[in-house]
Amino acid sequence: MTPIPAFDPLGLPAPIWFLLALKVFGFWVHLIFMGLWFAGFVVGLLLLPSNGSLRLAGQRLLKRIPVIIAFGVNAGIVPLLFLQVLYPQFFYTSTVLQAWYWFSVIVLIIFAYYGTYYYVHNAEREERKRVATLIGWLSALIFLFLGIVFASEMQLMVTPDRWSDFFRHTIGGAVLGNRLAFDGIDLQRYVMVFGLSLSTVAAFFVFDRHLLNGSSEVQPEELRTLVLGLTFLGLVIFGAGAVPYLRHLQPYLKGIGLWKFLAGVGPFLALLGGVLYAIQPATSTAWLLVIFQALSLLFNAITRQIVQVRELAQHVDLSSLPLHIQLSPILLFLITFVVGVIVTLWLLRMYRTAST
Amino acid sequence: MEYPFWYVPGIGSPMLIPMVALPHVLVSHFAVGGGILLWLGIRKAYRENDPDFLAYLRRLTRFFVLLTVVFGAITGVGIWWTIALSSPQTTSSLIHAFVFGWATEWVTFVLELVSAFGLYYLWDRLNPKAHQAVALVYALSAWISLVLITGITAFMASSGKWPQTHLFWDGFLNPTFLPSVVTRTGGALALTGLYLYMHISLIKIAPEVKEKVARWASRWAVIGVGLIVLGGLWWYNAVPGYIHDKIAERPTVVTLAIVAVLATLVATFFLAFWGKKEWLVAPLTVLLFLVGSAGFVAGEFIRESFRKPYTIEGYLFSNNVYTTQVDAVRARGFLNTAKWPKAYLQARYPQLFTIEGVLDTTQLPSLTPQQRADIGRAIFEYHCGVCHTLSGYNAIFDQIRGSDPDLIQAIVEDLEDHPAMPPFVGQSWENQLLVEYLFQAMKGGVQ
Ligand code: HEC
Repeated sequence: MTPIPAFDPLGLPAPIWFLLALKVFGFWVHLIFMGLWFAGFVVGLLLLPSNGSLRLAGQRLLKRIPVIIAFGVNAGIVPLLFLQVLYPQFFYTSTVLQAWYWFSVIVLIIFAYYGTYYYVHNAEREERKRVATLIGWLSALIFLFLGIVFASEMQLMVTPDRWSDFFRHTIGGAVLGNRLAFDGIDLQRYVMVFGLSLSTVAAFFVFDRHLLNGSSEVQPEELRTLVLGLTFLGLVIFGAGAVPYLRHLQPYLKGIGLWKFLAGVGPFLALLGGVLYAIQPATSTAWLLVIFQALSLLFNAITRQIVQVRELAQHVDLSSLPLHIQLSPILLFLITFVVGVIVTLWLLRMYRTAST
Repeated sequence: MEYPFWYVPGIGSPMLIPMVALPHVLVSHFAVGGGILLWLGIRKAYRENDPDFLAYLRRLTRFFVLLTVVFGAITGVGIWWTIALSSPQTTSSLIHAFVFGWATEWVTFVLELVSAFGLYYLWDRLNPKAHQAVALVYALSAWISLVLITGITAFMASSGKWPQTHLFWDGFLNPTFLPSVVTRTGGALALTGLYLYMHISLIKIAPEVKEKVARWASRWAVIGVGLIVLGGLWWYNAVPGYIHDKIAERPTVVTLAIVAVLATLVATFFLAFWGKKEWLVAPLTVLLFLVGSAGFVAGEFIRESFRKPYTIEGYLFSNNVYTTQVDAVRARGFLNTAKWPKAYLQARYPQLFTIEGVLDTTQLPSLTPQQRADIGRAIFEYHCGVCHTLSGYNAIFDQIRGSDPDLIQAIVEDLEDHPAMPPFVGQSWENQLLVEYLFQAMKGGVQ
């Protein structure tokens, strides 16, 4: 058994519920964007050889991926911040134990991100098309790989009894960090997120077509099958990961009643949205699918948090941690947040006027 | 004391930080200075009704957004990634002290993104008023993000009253906060001037526009240099005593930095007042940019090296020992306190530990030389490894070569006599094993 570091002596800077709420909120926003490059990049590339609406819909998604990455990575900062506030002793230790992989995330994102820009700027130029497509695929694959690193990290973090396997690879007790923790459970987590992401991609297509006033050349009739297919596949793939994962989680989920099924409700909701849209592709059903998918991701963000707290409860009781609450920095953040939201809406309205 | 240490051959994991942080600093200051200049430039272009100048700014924006939104943002997250990997305890302290400062900064990042993409994608479509408003939002949010992060980085070297109070504002509004904001704002403007020279010399551009951009950017760069000097002097007056002493001790580094800044200053003045701009050609502007960057990098390096032996002044030493913890750790022994090297030894040499898990020094004589070296190595990695490698960066071998072990033991005993080093918190037998190991390793006696 390896040791678990002590919690930070500075204590928690805000009430636990507040920290958890911000963490869940941030992760939810992150999930929304992340699905669009995690699964969306591949889906967009796969749609290119088709013709008509599907190709166009795929192209429109691919074109937006740079912006999506910018906001998605940005949103990812929030849950990581609060994760480090709540569980530093687990998070830092497990990243150090697989340090090179965790470090590689930064390097790989830079490559994949510029690769995405290169793809977007050159995919339509005849002379650079082939190289661009190649780079596009490479970037998409890098993002798929990064998912593996994140799944490994989030799982190793909550299983300190596995740490000693990694601590065996050291020099004088200093960790080499050259092993990745990826195993069956991580694969299940990975697959679940991939399934969820497919439904997000479906929601993006209808969002783009009906709610963003996207290209009228994308025919809703042609989009139907794709949307239905993606939400269905999303559910199946999510289930393929969730069923065994739920079995693994059983011991931690005692006494939380139906909550444990909340995450599983999500993909069904998304499928329902997909079916409704397939029956009648219109703005109203597009809204439904988008809302259902947003809810599905929110349910997942919440359940994941419950599970994380539960899994770690055997090692640390959050409510016993020292509190060192200071109101003014919290207010600083909240006020800035509100101002930020207002300014963002103001800017977006300006953009809307400008683009019509 | 709490976390495992990541071993990176040759340089040590902490040296990965500058590899990410220095490129980031060069881009993020451009994100701020460039943001301010874009806003000023867009205003100027509309005021003077100069479509050519506006067209230039549009080209600048493409380059600017691609550089700052991607590279700047990811390396920014990357710094956090690397400090957490090489110095978890420090990162945890910073996060717990300032998480809402960071959360606030996150809001400014969102605004930066929303406004940067507005400029990037809707340049032609925004009406002049909206255009200037978007640019202003960008400039303001970028500058505020600089202010916020400066509060935290300045805090690490001059923590003010914070170690006593642990209050957010005592840490954030630390003695070097304001001077650092002034210096960094100036640095951002000056560096942006150099970026712009490089940009206009690398793209195809009409000579009149080039002339105008150079003249205009130079004016702001000069102001930037002025702010650097002002902020620098102010900073010098505000730094805590332990840094003052070091500045007095290391005049060469300081002169070097000042010369680099002066070189930039002189170059900038030249450009500001020289009539013709034909000589602003690529190799020269790139060189100028490199000189300016070198000055910047030197500044950051000096700031960081002055901060040793602390990662947070008066609170936490670089090797993860809290200042208040020193006596207690000494009393218990380093290996009995530092969790991970202890776990490492417990797994390998259970015979050394009592049933209660306390290291029993009476068992030490039973160890083979190889085993003693192994223990020495663990002490080295966890007590010294954050600043020294064996033979690579800041090599310990270079420090001990030619000395005899007794002398080195004496130095280690009073390690804090060296201004850059924290106190040794081990007991004398730990000191002995450490030094024994170092000399053996230097002779190639152990792997
Ligand atoms: C906070 C960073 C830091 C830590 C931790 C640290 N050192 Fe140093 N050490 C330095 C620096 C910086 C120097 C100066 C190097 C130079 O002058 O090139 C130095 C110099 C030395 C010297 C030469 C001193 C002299 O007076 O000539 C020795 C010996 C040494 N270190 C040993 C150690 C040992 C052993 C440890 C662990 C117990 C250790 N150091 C921990 C930063 C550190």
